[in-house]
Amino acid sequence: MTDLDERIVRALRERAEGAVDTDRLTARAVAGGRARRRRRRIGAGGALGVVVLLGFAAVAAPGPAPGPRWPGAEPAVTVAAPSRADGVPGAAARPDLVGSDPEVLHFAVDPARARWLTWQSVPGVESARLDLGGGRQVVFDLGRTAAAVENIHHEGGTYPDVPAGADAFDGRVQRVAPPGPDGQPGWFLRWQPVPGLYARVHTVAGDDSALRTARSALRLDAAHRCASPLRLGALPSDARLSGCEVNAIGFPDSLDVLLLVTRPGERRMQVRLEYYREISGRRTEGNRTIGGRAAYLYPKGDELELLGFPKAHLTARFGWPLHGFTEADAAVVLGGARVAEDLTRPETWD
Amino acid sequence: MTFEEYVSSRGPALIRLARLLTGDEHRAEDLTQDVLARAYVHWRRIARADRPDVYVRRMLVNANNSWWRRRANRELATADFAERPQRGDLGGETADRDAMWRLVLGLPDRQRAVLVLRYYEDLDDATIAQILDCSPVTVRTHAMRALTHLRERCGLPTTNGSRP
Repeated sequence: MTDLDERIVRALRERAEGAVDTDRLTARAVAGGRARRRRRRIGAGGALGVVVLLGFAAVAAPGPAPGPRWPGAEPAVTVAAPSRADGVPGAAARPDLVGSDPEVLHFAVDPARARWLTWQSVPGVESARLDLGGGRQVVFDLGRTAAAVENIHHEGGTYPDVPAGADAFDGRVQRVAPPGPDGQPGWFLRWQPVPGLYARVHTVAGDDSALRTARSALRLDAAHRCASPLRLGALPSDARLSGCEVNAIGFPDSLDVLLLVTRPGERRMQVRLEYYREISGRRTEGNRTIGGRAAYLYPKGDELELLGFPKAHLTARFGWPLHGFTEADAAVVLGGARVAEDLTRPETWD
Repeated sequence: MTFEEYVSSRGPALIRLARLLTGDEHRAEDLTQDVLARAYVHWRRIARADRPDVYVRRMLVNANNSWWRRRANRELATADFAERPQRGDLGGETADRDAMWRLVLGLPDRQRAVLVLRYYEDLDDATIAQILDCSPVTVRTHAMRALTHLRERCGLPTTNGSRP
């Protein structure tokens, strides 16, 4: 072993050492695992779910949504959903607009048949995770090309090894074998609603019944805005907002908003608002200041957090595998970010 | 082996590995708990694997690299390693370890993971390749680049006998 090798070993050993409370670790891991298993059983969450983004004109109605009927799953007391974008054409009328505006979803769902869990708009593709009731859950993707749709993989999904080509968007159902002996198969329904538009519904279940239910619940003659309690009021030079993802699976207990900021040349930065009612918010003293507010640059130097949001983290991540933005850029974005006063009251999101 | 038995025996090692991958003590705890919770759901399948520990460590490395790893960061870090009190400094050894740690921390994630698995976990390249889901050649490439960087930053000759 060389001197360099030994120095590396010494440094790593010192940084790794420290007591570990094994009993606590075991208890928390088991509790977390059981909670995950429960969520998977009710169909609301094997996936991390998160999501989306940006529709700054947000909305969402407090109280049960009007009229929906879920056979097996009552809606939460407070629900979050993307707001209607009146006057904006749906995908059927303007397929060329799909995936072109991170603030808009060019589709809707029948509230009597499905409930929004997540929604997102990224370049070329718009997506949503929907609760159909009775423990059934699907993810819907809509894009201008088959390749763009097939490139989207959602956590918790079971996808084919070989992406489908454009000719596979023909209304037939595809079954994908489960990844392991305990798993369920993946099911896909792909079709072309109008020329130049590719739609896909995916579920992991014992049968494919949810696919056709979901297809009948989708509406391509209306549009929504991405509801979110986070707005970016400032962007670095040459940068623009390119994507938004909102995850309201756990709402009102938790909510995740992810905004993608890009520059030409695939340079990217992620701005994230993560709310979780169990966040302790212990850190109040930062190592940076943004607009007079405390901020914290993480030790790796690739992520900056603006402090002071109860039970929430507001961060800008610019390190690997992202690139093209700096701590100064992150400070600009966080300094101009506006967060709703009460993250659990969608009616206050503007 | 039950899940509880696995965590009891391997949990501390996973936490220590996470400390080195994340560079943040609290994030390491959150990351490990999140990964173990996911492992719990699939434990029957994982326990049947030839080397369940390799599988779990792969989950840990991937979770740390994931863009979505924030889920594992529910609790805010309150103390970084740099803030931990140091023991007595013996002839500048502490300063040297701190400097080396900062250099390791500054490496790209995959390079740092290779060094941690090789030098701290003392794993061979084939096992590291399994954990990182790449080839042993790729492991050696990451290691070579990391060591070259460290040598340059330490003012050492570009080759000094370290395993490539």
